This record gives sequence, C-alpha cells and structure tokens, in this order.
Amino acid sequence: MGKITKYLPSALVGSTIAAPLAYIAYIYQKDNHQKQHAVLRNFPLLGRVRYMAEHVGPELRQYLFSGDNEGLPFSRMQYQDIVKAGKYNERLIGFGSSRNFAEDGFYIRNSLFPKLRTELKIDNSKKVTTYQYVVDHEGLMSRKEHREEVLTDPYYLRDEDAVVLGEGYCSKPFRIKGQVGMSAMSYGALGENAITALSKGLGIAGGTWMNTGEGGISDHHLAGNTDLIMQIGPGLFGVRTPGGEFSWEAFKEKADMDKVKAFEVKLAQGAKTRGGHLEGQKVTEEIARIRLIEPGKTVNSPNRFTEYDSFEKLFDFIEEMREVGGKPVGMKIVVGDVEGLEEMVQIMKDSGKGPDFITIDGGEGGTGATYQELADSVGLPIMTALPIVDELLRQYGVRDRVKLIASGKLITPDKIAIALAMGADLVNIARGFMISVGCIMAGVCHTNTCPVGVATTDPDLQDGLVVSEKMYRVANYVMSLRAGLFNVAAAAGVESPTMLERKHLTHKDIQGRISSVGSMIHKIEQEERTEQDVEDLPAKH
Amino acid sequence: MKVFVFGGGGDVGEYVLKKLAAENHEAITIAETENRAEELKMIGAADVCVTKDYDFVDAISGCEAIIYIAGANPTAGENRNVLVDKEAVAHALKEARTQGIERVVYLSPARVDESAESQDTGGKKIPEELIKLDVFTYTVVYSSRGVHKPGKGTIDVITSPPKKVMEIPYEDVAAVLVESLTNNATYNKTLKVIPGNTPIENALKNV
Repeated sequence: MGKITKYLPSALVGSTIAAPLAYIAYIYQKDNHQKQHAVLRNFPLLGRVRYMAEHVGPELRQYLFSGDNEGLPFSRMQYQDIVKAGKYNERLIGFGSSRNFAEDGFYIRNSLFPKLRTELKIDNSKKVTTYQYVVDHEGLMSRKEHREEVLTDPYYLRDEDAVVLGEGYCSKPFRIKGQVGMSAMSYGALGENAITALSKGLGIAGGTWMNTGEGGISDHHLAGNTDLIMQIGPGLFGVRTPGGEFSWEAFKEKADMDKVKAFEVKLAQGAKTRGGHLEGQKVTEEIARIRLIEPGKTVNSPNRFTEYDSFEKLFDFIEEMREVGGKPVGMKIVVGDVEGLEEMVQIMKDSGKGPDFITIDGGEGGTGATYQELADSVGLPIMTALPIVDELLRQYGVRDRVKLIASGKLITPDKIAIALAMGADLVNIARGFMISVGCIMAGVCHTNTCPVGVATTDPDLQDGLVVSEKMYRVANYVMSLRAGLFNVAAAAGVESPTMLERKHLTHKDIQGRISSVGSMIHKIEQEERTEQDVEDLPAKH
Repeated sequence: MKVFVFGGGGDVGEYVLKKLAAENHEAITIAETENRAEELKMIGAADVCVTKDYDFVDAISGCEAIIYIAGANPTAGENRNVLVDKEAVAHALKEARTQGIERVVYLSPARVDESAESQDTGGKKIPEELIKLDVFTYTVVYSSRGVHKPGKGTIDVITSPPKKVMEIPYEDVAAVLVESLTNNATYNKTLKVIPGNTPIENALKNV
C-alpha cells in the first residue's frame, strides 16, 4: 500500500511523458521507412505538416484567407448572393459593387429613361406564401434571427409574354410564365431530400420547371407541384427495356404524366461531353430500380446515343417522340464545332424537322462527376456558344421554331439578363439551386460524402438537410431572380426581361474600349479573313 | 355592390380589389397607366379608369359605395411623396355626393399606435373630419402597421390606444374595409383595428 502511494505520482508523471514520446518515436520510424512519400522519408514527422496543411487548405482559404471575389467556380460573394436571396429574399448590398471593373466583361446598357415600376409588364396578381428569415440581432459570436411567413410577389411574366415550347408543333405545348428553371440534376447525383426540397420549392414559386436529369423520374421529383422536363441521356434511364433498348411503351407512360411537360434529349453537357457518371456508392437499390441498373455498381452512360449518329436520324427520333408523346422535345448540346452546328441548322431548314428547344450548356457548367480534361478544355463557354447558335438559327430562318435555354454559371439576375439579351429565351441553373438547398461547395459531389447531404444518397448525411426548411429557400431564390430580372429590364428601358436583346448589351475590354455584341459570327468570319490575308502576305525573308 | 376604390393600387388596395371580387362585389378603381390598369384587372378590379389628372367622374357614376384608402391616390405614385392629399379627398367626396353615393369606408393614413401629435402631422386627420361632417354614412378605420404576411382572418377592435406597435397583415386590413361596407354595426363609427383572435365578422358586429 505504502509503495503504491509512494511511486504512483512519479509513475503517472513518467508515463504521461513517456507515452507520447514513444508514439512520436514510432511515427518517426514509420515515416522514415515507408516507401510511398519522399518528403516523409527525408523529413520524418515534420513532413506530415505538409499533408495536413494541404488537406485543410481549401477550407482555410474559403473561410479565412481568400478575398470576397476570389475563388472558383463561385466566389464567396457570389455564394452569399445566392444564400441571401434564398434565406432573406434580399439582394440589396451596401457601399457599392465589388466587381473588378478593370477586367473585361459584359455590361447592360442602361437607358437614360428607364421604365417605372408601374410600366413593367409583371404578373403579380397571385401572391405566393413563403417563409423568410429576419435578423433580429447580429453580434460577433452570435446571430439571433427568426423565420416568418410572408406573402411575396412572384414576378411572373404576363400571359402574353409567357415563353411557349413547341407551340404549333405538338399537341401539348409547354407554357412557362418565368424564364428561370432548374437544370438537369438526377436523383442519384443528388439525394432524395435535396430533390424533394427542390421539387417542392419550385412548385411554391411556380412559373418554373425542373429538369429531371438523365436518371429518370423519381417520386422525389414528383413530390412538389412543379412542371418537369424529362431528360433522356444515352443511358436511356427510365425509358429503356431491360435489354437496354429504347422503350416506346415506357416513354408513352412518362409522356402521359401530367407533370411531365417536355422531353430533352441529352447529347452533351458543359462539363462532360460524354455520358453521365454515377459513382457506385451512390447507386442505392431505389436508384437502381428507377434506372434499371445494378445496385452498388458505378454507372457510365455511353457518350453518344449508339443508334443516332447523324442529325437526320436524331431528328427522326425527335419527330417520333413528339408524335407519340404529344409534348415538346428538345435537345441539349455543348458548342465547340461551329461547322457541325451549321450543318445541323441547314438540315433543320431543309427538312423542316428539328427540336422544339435547344439547351446550350456552356463549358463552364457544373457536374456531379466528370474528368478534369473534359471539364476544363472541351466545349465553349456560354457567352460565346449561345450567340453563335442564336445567329445561325436566325441566318437560316429557323429561329422562330426553336426556343433557346442557356446555362453555365448564370446564378444572379445580371448574368441571366446578359444571357437573355445574348439570345436565350430561358435559363437553366443547377449549382445555384444546390447552394439554395445548402451546398457549401465542398467539391466532393463525385464521392458519396457531401457534408451537407445535398449530393449524396447516404441517409445519415441527408439527415442534415431539412426539406421543410430548404424548400422555401429554393422558392425565394427563384422569385428573387425573377424580381431582379425585371429590375434589369427596367434599367435597360424595356417592360419585360423577355424584351432584352443584343442592343441592350455592351462589352468593355481590358483597356476600357467598348464594342457592341451585335454579331458573333460576323466577328468569326472577319477573323478568318484576316488570317487569310496574313497567309497571303509574301513570305518573310 | 358596385364599389369605387380610391387607392386600389396600393398595398392594402390590391387586397381590397381581390376581396371585393371574391365576395361578388364590383370593384372600380383608377390607375395612372394602361399597364397598371391591366394589372389591377388581373388582381380583381371589374373596371379601371386610366387617368393622370384625377378625372374619375365617369367611372364613379353608378357606384353605391366608396372605399377610400388614404395616402394612395393617382398623384401619389412612386415618385411623389404625398402623405395624404386632402384636396383629392375633398374632390372625391364632392363627386360622391353629386352621384348620390351614401356609404364611405375610409382607411386613415395615420396608424392606430401613433401618438396624437404624429397623427396630426401632415394634416393626416383633416380628410376624416371632412367625411364626418358630410352627409355620408361613414366608417373610419385606423389600423396597426401593415405587413406583407398572409391574413389570419382575425383581429381585435380596441377603444383606447394600444401600448405597443404591432403588425397586421394588409390582407386583414383589406378584409376589415370590405366587411365594414355592409356591416351596419360599423356605420358612423371610428374603428381602431389591431391584430387579434376574433374573427373579423364577429369583431365588427360587436363594436
């Protein structure tokens, strides 16, 4: 007994020092002898700091060290713009813009006689009940805020300004009283809570649509009261026979659903000019059932519809779908090959066939999973791609048959307005909506570990995403975007954002010179001529 | 009933138009532009008189009652900060009298929780004095601060000024005005309306 009391204190002190030392020695040894990392072999223990710092770097930069306008794909400021629109229905900022005005970029040409509020063609006759947050008090360590029910103006387009897909070409055209909708995001890429919140939120806002993505129509897409555009990718998920063929029976079944308003054949997507990719961990039994695939196994859809390898065949397929379904059929493309596109438009003109709408995804568009080489360098960005398509369609006299939907980082009203002026009739948003349901841009969509339960099918992680909370943020975000569009339209001197044209834009270059954005193709042709002139010059001696 | 609504384009006004349409009344109002008229018709106005110089004589003929939402009139558009235009009210009343209209429901631009001094500021009380002195069967309504929240359908009518500033949905204020039109318990009375738990119809019956 006496011995224990005598030696216990020194034994305790000894072991508290000895144990960590022993552990450090063990790690040192381990680092020194491993063959994987050179830096650890040369600097055992110390070298670990490098890996730790590298690992937490993005978070540190995002929260502490990056400026408000730094960071891609979206800066902190852009991220906050989306969150605030959804949470507080607020777009006001103080003290002025933090845009870098020295850079080149597009600007809206403001009219010296803007439209008054009473002159704008808005339909606010049916107000929308939603919830938004109000900050009571904000301190350094705490923020007190509460959520309250409000009646909000939805900022619909007037009936006469509504955008109609497939008018005059199919028996059930799709009328849309707003110009902003949700881009293709499959159930599977996003979890059921995220899809449900989006579906319900878009339903509350009205005047919008939800693109199902190529993963088929799930019950979660149908959870809210929103219109759907069903996407059909080369994997034919949801419309295929067990053997992998296109099933007209399954297609008809989908076309007969009231909520399905249109179909979109996906040829390519901005960040992946290839078929979709869904990581095995995300393929739950439910997803496997909807898509008719094997649970737990990574899915890669082919990068092309194997059967349709020419515009003629593709247009015949579209024609038949429109015939069988009675609903508008569009196609989603990425622009790179302008000559190929011209061929398409020529065929549209000659055959009188073609899509009811073309969704143009800019190369800057997002995705749940793709390869870096495709995301970074394949496909033109939207502000180049969109005007080219618009102009080609006009040049061949078929623009009136087709509506254009643009996408690619168009997450705030000003950017959407620029796209509309550049030729878009409608705009698709994906990541903006992800942020509105809680995305914090952790950049792990291709794994199944999304920390906020958005891009994951893991039930534990999805537990963090409360549908009844986030759905209102989705609704507020859409309505706020539409309100912002009317603001920009008024500034440009037109009564509705549907009236925005190229003449309402100007481009300022890095030296402060401005140029009109009238004709993109004309510019390409001019460049080609100049190149030709240079080649024709006598060779240098 | 054919009702002329002054201020049909304002925050309360839009709900008044909607409510009148829902209760099968015929709402007539005025707007500054054709575009605004179109909007007000979408909301529920049966007819909208487009005028910039406050010429509503033709439109008011045949109306049986007036709902006057003060603080909002064609000259109080977004670029004019007229608090209350007493001449406009006087003009409207004169026209109403000529047309033989007997019933006037008037929403005061002053809030129920404002101090007496504040209520007098800017001549906010003058129009209602004019109404009371005139031949009309009037109801004057003071309400709490209006907000864009869904209406509850319940209010309280109080007699002494409230102790604190409260929020009342515009929709409920509109419902009070429309309900008062035909509720003879409110005839020739001034109502102080705050948010509460009594259904509007009952609350007005027992004033």
